Amino acid sequence: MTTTDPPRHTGDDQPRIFAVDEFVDSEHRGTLPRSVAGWLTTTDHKALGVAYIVTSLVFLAIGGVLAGIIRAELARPGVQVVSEQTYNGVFTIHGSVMVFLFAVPFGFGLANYLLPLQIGAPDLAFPRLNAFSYWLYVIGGAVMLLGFLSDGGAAAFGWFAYPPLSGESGSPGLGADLWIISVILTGTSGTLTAVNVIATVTMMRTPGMTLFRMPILTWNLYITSFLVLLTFPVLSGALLMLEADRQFQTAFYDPVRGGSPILWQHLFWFFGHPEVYIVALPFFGVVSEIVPVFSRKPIFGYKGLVLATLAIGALSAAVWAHHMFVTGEVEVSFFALTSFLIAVPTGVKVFNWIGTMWGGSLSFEAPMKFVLGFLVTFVGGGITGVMLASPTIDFHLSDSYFVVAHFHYVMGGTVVFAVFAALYFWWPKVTGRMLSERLASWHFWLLMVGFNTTFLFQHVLGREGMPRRVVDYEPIDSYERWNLVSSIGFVILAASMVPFLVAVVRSLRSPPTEGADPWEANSLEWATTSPPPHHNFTWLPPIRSERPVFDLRWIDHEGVGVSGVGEAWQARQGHDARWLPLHRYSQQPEHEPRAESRPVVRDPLDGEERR
Amino acid sequence: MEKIDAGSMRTPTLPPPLTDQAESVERAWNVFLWIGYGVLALVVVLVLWVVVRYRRRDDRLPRQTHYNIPIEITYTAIPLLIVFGLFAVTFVTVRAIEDLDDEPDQVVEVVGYQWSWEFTYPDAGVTIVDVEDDEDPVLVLPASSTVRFDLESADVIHSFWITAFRFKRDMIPGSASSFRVDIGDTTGWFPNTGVCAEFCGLDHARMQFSVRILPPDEFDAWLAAQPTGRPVTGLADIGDPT
Repeated sequence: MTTTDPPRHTGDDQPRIFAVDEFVDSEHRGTLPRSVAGWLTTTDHKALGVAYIVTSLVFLAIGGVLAGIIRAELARPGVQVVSEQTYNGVFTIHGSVMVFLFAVPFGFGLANYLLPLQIGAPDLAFPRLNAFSYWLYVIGGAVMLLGFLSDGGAAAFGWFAYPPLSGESGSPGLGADLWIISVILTGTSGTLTAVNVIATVTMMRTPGMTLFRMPILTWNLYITSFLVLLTFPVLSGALLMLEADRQFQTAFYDPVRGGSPILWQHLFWFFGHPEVYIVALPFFGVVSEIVPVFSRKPIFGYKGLVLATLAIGALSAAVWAHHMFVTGEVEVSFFALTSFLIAVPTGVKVFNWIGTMWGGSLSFEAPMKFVLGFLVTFVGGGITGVMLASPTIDFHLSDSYFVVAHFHYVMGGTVVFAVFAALYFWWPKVTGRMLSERLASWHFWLLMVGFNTTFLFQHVLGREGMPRRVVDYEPIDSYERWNLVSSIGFVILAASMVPFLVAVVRSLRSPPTEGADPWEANSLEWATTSPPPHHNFTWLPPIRSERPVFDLRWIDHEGVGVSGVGEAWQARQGHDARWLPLHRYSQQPEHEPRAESRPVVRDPLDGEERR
Repeated sequence: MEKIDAGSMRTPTLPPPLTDQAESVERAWNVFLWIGYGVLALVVVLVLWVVVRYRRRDDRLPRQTHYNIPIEITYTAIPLLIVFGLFAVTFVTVRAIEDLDDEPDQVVEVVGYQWSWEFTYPDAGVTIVDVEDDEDPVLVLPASSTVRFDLESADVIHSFWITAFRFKRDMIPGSASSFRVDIGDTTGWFPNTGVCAEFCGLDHARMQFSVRILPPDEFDAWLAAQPTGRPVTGLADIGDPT
């Protein structure tokens, strides 16, 4: 296995562009567990990352089937496909699955797989805790779906479970209890993962990886984790109080016995709005990783982008009551102002992405296509978000199909387009194989058309007065027309998954031949084999900017990458061990020379002499 | 008094704004809508521009621009100014809408329950309840008057939404809530404009009502003709809606 750098100049005076494959031995690819026992007992962050992502995609499929039932029922007025009770359970579990079991865990899957790689760490800080989080999530998800098998069916009070409807008399069945327990379990899983991510980023960055050299995705996962720590315990506490109301005759939320239904709304939305950013921030990170690679430029305004993410994180904890404008129990102007303000850092991000592409050299492979789809749908959802942040407009549109359209643009559009951008982008890293570009084009255009056909006209439905969460609607012309269009759109949306699945099956049947860095990308996960070996790295490039792999590629060219990389490169010739503290974690401790046997070298950065 | 043919009562689209407050909501909506279109158009044009103009033509590495502080400050400051403007529009409109009148021309007490509505005119002692034959209850209101609604829920949370008012207010059990509207001079029959907007259980989708607005003198005559001491049911009791 190569652990030394080749000379910077090849001898003839032509500078050349280096490739990562010159440094890593692709015969030494990593593997995933091959047995059931292996999967059950693994604590490898990459295996758990794959498990998280596959599991969350299974829940996406389940949530999608439930969405299909909803659109089938609403295609025509009247109650045809399922009963009222079943329908109410279906939309409740659809929302809960998509939010708690798909969107958030997919982000945790990215954190699992990519975060240690991006900061040059061998694993997350607490691998066993990480495995525990994953299994808690799987069990929590199973408990939620078990609701459909219980007497009285699944929970049927909407994913935000307002008491008294979610209380003992409003929802007497076991399904409601299963829902509460399920969300507590997945919430606890998320909290533990957040602890893990924070500890990892804080303590395990490789030398040279300062905070402001971290990839934006890592930054966003880091900030997301603080939001998780702030809000998930609040939700778990609120849910325990709800369960106590149901089973132990307490009266936190029961108005008949002096409780307060509005207390639940405050607690739930104090979790619920940051939750939107817990879902979205990792995907903003995905986009911030992909745009520079396919534009061949650095991310535009790195620090501005990080500050924008911090501002979103901070503001997101002060906007929750915009979900409660129509209760008449909150100071609407204050929450309107904070909600408007959050549009500013979000807009800054969009302009940063456009600024990255501006003046670039853009190519449109599958990840970039999905990122552009993300940009357009996300801006659409952002604009309706600003509208709904105004109480004046919210008084009419709250709890209508306009809101349904809005959050499907921001949560559905953001998440689904970015999920597929991420899958296409990191697929070669995770599997060592590529996905078909031709099928990806079909996938992208079907998704774009299907998504917008499904959700665009729901804005009209809401504006015209159709409330959300209804099994039936009046046979008014515009209701009938746009509901039918929306249902047809869903068929196209569902069909878009076919080319993706075909591409996945075909890809997995081919041999893994991709090199370390098929996209000519920037961050450290591309500086190791595809898939990466156990504990990730046998060699690391010098890290002097947020694009160590880019700097490495152009190291022969003065003035292209960041300055200092060349000197670092020269300094490490023959002194590799000094630049490879990751040997501490590696399986082969004999590779590490004893400290006293290391040569004393002068650090090119600060001039100090050290071993 | 004929039975109304359900088919003829359907509203084709969203009813026009019936109150002064609805008019101001519509004005704010238009401001937001056009600014929204503008921002969307700007972003779409920028994205299309970079996609066309900066597509890869050769293998040269483009100029590596890391940041540009003046541009970044500009695209932070302009959105900030826009949202402050939008906040000003919002603040003024909300103040106008949330103002409660001490001396309304008419008070209506509304009780929401699973899954219908009860409307009481306390001064006249008249109560309208869910009508028979699966028809929606009817809320009768005087035109050109100030009306205050006192809302209450009998069981779970409901939300009292009259789309023609462009307004809704949640009905939360245990806490009463009020709002006021200034109804304009449009009279007429507005079927299905009353909706429960907060999911409230099994028959939530059916929890609707119709609104009928009468000229003030006809309203007074109608109210005086209603029996007191017993709930009024059936469209026949309420009168010809045409």
